[in-house]
Amino acid sequence: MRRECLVFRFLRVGCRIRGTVFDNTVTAGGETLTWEDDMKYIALLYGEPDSGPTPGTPDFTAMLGEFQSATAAMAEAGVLVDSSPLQSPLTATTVRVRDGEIQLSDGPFAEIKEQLGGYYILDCADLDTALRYAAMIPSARYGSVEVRPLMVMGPH
Amino acid sequence: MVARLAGDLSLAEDCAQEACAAAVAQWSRDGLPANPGGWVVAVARRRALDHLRREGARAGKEREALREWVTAEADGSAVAGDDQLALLFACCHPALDPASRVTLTLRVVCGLPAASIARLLLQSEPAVAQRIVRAKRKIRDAAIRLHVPDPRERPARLVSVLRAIYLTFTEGHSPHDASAVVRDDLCEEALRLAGGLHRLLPDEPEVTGLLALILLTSARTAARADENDALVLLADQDRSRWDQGRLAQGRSLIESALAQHRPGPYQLQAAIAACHTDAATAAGTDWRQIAALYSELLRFDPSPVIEANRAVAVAYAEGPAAGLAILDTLAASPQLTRWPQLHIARAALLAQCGRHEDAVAAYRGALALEPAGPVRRHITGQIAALGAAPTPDQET
Repeated sequence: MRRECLVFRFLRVGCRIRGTVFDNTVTAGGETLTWEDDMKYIALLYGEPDSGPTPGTPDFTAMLGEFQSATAAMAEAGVLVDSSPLQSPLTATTVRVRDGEIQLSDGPFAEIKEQLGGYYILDCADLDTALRYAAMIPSARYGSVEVRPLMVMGPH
Repeated sequence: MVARLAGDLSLAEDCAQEACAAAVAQWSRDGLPANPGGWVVAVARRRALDHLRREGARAGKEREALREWVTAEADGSAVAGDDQLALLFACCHPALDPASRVTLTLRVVCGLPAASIARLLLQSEPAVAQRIVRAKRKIRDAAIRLHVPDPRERPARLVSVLRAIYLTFTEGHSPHDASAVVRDDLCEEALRLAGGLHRLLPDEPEVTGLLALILLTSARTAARADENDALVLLADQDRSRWDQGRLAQGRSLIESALAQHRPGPYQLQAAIAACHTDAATAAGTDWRQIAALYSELLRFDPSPVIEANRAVAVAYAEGPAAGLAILDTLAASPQLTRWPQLHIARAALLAQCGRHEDAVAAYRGALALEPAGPVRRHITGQIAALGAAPTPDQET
């Protein structure tokens, strides 16, 4: 996918831009940076254990419906790569390999107040698009959604 | 606190500083020490610069940076319209941290060198440079796109966009020791940005207010310097040299903005500027209304610098004792003890109240802060006129 964008140059004295098809190149102070054609973002859903509606209540059912409609909207727009809720952190097992030995421990790698409860992987042209979809996820109201670009390795 | 003061280096203060200077001028006409000079306004405009000058080594570097910028700008073509606004909104994206937004806008949209940005924001040059690098990296890696955001996203972006334009204009006013071209270029750049934003968002009263503020303030530019490029105080300006077209445009804009009953800091500052320009003569200024507008402004930005400006307006409207009471309270706050203007304004009001010894003490307090040459000369002149010596040990 080739994104339409604006060429802009970070010059020492300012910036000149013009409307054109973006070639994913930015000249910044003589240094050329390259952007990937396709951006992918992961939306990490965090919430405190007791935040949000209680399971079994009508509010909980309504929230599930909102998850479904958000996911459906992303799929319909063709941006949804993958998504899933996660089982409770109580079910997590952490793996470490030290000096060639596998060490296992019960629970998530770090104890934090907000727990990772699910994720969406989105294929979006830019951050603003990804943020718009992230705001549709109910967790954004009850907890928070962290949006991070996936790092794309090497040339295609 | 220094950064806080710099953040408040606003046009409202500019106006009030001019008012303060006008006050000094009037006191001199009333028989107090003569020749108040252009220093009050000059100091107001160059306060940030003076902070850095006190550090000594900065001055040469700053001049160098400005020269570099002037030379470079001469062959640069400006961007306009939606492209520039898209760039502006990208630089002010809420995904960037607030401090980075203004920095990046000044660097990328306005083309200021990092050294000038450092001076304007009272930060170190390496800190500014690092902030620019980090912000550019986030724009690249997170793919923050250059576009004008849709209406739902605009309000969140607007606050920092307005701030960036405002600081651009302030920067345009401050480098009085650089060539006039530099100042006008930046002011016109800010005016163009504000005008473009207003075309895009005609129903946002704060956008309208900022545009009005820039028009009303820049309308006075031609009258602000004499043939020797020395500053002329508001009270002494030839009002026929004001740009009547810009004044009319600014007045009409601020009236339409205020009519929406959604006041904000830029509208209030524009209203204060309008009050100053509405008066046919300096003596005809409606100080009571200006003092009331400063009170409103304080609700949005409760800064001691704005409170000091209100005190000057109150001194005009209700007499020196009323203004002095406010300044006395402010003088007790540790935040402002290193701000020479406060001591100078207080000294002038003390002198006007007939408390000459206290006035001398206040002038000496300002002198102890080691202000720049012209300010120093003015203060020693005032002290001499009050029949005292610059320092107590020089008394005979």
